[in-house]
Amino acid sequence: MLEFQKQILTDVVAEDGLLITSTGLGLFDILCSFTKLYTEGNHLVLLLNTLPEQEQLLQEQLITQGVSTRNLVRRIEYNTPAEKRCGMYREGGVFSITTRILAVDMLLERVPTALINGIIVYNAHRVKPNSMEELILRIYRDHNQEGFIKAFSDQPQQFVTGFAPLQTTLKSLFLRKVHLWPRFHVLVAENLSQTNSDVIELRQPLTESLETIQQSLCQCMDETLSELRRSNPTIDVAEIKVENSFFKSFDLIVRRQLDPIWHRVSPASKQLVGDLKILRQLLSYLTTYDCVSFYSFIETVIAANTPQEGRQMRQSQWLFLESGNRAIETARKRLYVKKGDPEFDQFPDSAPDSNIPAHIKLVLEEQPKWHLLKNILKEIERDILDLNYGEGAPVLIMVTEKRTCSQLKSYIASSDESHQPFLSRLAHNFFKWRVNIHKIQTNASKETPPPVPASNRGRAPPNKRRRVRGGSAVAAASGPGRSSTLAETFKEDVIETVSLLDIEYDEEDDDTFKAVGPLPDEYEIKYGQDDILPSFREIPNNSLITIQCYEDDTNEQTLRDVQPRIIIMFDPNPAFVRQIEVYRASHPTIQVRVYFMLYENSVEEQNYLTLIRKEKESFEKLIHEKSIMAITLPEKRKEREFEIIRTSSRIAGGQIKTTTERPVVIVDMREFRSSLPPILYAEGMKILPCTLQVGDYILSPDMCVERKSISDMIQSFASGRLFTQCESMSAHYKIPILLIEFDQNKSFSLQSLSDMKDNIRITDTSSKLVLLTLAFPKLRIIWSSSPNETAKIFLELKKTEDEPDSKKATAIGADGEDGDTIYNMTPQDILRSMPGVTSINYKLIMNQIQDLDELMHLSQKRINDMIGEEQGRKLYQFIHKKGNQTVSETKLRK
Amino acid sequence: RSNYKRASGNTILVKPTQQKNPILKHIHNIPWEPSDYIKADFVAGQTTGIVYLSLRYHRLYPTYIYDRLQELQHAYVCRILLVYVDTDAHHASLQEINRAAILSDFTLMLAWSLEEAGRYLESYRWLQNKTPDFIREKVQDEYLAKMTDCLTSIKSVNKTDVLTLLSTFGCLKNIVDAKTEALAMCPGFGEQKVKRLQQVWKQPFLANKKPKN
Repeated sequence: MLEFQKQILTDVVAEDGLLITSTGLGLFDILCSFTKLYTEGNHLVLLLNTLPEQEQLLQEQLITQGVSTRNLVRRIEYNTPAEKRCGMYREGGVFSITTRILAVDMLLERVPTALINGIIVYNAHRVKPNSMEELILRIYRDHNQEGFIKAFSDQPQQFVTGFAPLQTTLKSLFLRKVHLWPRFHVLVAENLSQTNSDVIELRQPLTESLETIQQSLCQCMDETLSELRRSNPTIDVAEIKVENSFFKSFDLIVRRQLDPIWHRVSPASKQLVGDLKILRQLLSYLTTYDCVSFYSFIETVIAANTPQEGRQMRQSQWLFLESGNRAIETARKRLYVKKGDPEFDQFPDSAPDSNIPAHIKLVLEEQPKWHLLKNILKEIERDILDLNYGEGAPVLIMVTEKRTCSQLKSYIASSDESHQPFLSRLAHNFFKWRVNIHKIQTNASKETPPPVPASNRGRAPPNKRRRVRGGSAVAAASGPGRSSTLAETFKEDVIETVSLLDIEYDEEDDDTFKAVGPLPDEYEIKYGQDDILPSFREIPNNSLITIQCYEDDTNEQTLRDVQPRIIIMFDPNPAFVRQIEVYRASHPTIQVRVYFMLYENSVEEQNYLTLIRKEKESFEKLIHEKSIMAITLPEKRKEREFEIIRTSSRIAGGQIKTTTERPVVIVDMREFRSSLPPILYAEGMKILPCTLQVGDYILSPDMCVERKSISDMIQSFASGRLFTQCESMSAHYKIPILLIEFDQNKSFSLQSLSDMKDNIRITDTSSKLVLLTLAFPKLRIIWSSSPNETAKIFLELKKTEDEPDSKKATAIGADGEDGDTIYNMTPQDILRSMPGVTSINYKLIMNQIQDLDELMHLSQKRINDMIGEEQGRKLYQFIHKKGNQTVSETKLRK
Repeated sequence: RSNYKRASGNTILVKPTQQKNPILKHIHNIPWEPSDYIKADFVAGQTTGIVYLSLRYHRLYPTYIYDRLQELQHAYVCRILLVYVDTDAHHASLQEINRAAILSDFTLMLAWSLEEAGRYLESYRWLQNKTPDFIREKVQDEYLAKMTDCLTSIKSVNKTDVLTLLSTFGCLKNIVDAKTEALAMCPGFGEQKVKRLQQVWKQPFLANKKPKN
């Protein structure tokens, strides 16, 4: 450990607080050392918010540091049964535990909260007000004043957005003190500067076509942004600049700004926000993907944007721009040229290939860095022989994505200078894949019933209409009649190729549908440490080239394991630069040479610089906020007294009872993803977590509440689930209640005046609400402007109501399931959205089948046995039908 | 305004005391007519009685609404309390009104403008005899749309990704069976997304299912 790391650890041990360091300064090692202190002896320490990989790594580190296997960190998960969990807590030790489980266990008093020695919160930047972490720490501090709370984060930039974010986070963490350790901290700087630096910076210019694409995409982004600003004048322009738009969180910035009114933002604006995200993706893929993958991604985006007959769809505006067109064309010409292109004659004829149509010549432009890398490796090859007495030295190549790993491996491995064989292979697959995507598209439009003329009456296609109205740049840029040119050209192009290849394909793909996407399914991709590359046979065996991906916490381990003499940073990464610094400082005897590769004047460069700048600025802001912040920690909360006189008007005689107990609310386990339960607890209610089949909150034996945020409500109106939920609430409870809950920071109103059309439409949210209340006259509605308001309304309602009974509540609609069941929502959502699966039979499936993977491999008969023949057939077909086949084809094959 | 009196039976009935209510100005899709015989402020169809309240009024005359709700407690099958939120200081009043509506068996509806309030009146009349099929669970049969629905339940997967998956692997089963390496090579799929996708297939539906007996 370096001196500054020791100092950090001492600080953390000495006083409760939130530790924020720069990324790459070894925060994870500090966590390990800190955790180690509690592995011996009889402690009960809880570790929150670690990712599974981090946990794995933590275990390994503890083992290498000599912690006996009995005392390692133990994991508590969903599938640890409740009784076992109780036992484990009482045995003591260090536990890594999911927040939801811990919160539930604390509420149900399965954890001896008073006996906890401490809680460690890793990834503390993820802690938000009213989160599970806050609930846990609140319960903890209610019952335990002695134990410690330590929080760790190495993402300073996460603490500077919003209003007094550091202070807010500290409040949620029940902490008062913050330890800041930026890279520019004197001690850190001193420790790291002692090493000699041997860094070779290589600035690779982009090729002409790459530059054209980059420029065009930036233009598209600019136009999209101005269009967005035009239609949403509330957006703060200062923060939204194209420079920002390269940065990862850009679409989040826009999202955050629009969030208060998101449910009222027009679909067109939502589309624009989505477009920004895609454009940003494209910009970063431009330098990281090869030309084939890049272009196939573009084609997929276009395909996903092609309107299908009979369906109204908003298309991405940038696809219609001159610059958008240029980007796409140029990207295609990096892959191939076709007859009619001016460049066509410049290229030599491609070798005859049955998969590549005759009117097409492959171009296959390489990524410039590849060549650069090859040159570096040659240089290293020479130098190593000179420097290290021919013994060789380990070389480490660091990249961002696994994709790049395999790309580079294939590239380095092939000695052929002209056409890269793996690029040709990718191109080969690309033309095959293209046929599929085209078929999926055409099938989709075939299956759709012809458009109902009435629905389109008097309405121009959405695109054209927009163009006529706002004199926007987007509109101006695309002339009339161009609206579908691009999609059309794309389609024609595909049809052209398809018609040439059709016959072979139908035979080849007959029964065994292979993965034919733009991916090299034929060869296995291996990454790893033991790859000895064929082209370097002359180098002694002990010299390895390792290609690795950046993974923040494991990087340090990688460096320690590989002990490289030469590091090539193929992709820039500020955290890793620091990790190298730390590695050098702690191994002063090892000579390390670093190659740092960067595309000149590129988005990549821009990104890198922004990241560094943002981090520095974040720390400056944090230091400032720390100096002015005044935190008053709440006094130890006395058990609040609830001297509520409850006159129950519902019970005959209106008995009056006085109680000092907290009012009880039963909360469905699934609701623990929302912020309401922590607020209910903070407001003084006793919350009982249960698995409910009907409703989300049970306030009394009669009152059952289904909670919907605005977006939830709109969604579940569309899927029809809300209707079903109201149906079952009405069947089981005397007072079924729909809670419509707005967000604290979002506007408190359902629809904006400008959205209201002159005539009533059934698709309006207001119409749907009216339909719902007419269908269920017994249904009551609570309108709440925020979760905090909800809590107050619940308290109001509880004044006159009896306490609910958790046994009864869980039994309702449960068919003998016990109340401790925890559902995993995503797999369940996916299952429920499959054809043949209904709101009635999905439970049958879930009870008999473990997971989706198992479902995929069931025979038709098994499925039929479960849910009946008709539904079974639908489900089976959905799972096995190929997207590029029509229904009739599927049937024929059976 | 003779056209408002056209076909009675297809109109919104308005209590004479409400005739000056400004929301009536915004009712133009459905005719309305005053009626001396109704108890509620507005009647949209045989079974739906609507009581109107503006929050500002409520703050001046806080007991008014309790009397009204009491009066009408069992009068209609569908009892609506339509509240016009015409002030930003709505917290305390709305807490109270939410509770009052539930305890007197009224369904609360909020409107933030006169136009919106008028629209609710119209909608109640217009949708009076419509079946709720439009908001029921329905069967979507179109394959691609269905698949998109299905796979976009996974966080960060969008419709472009669905198309990529389908065109690369062919069918849902093959997508589930796809190797990590193959998924990682799909354009648009970073490590996070691949991991998320593969986790979902293996995540049990019921997290802590007891072993079958």
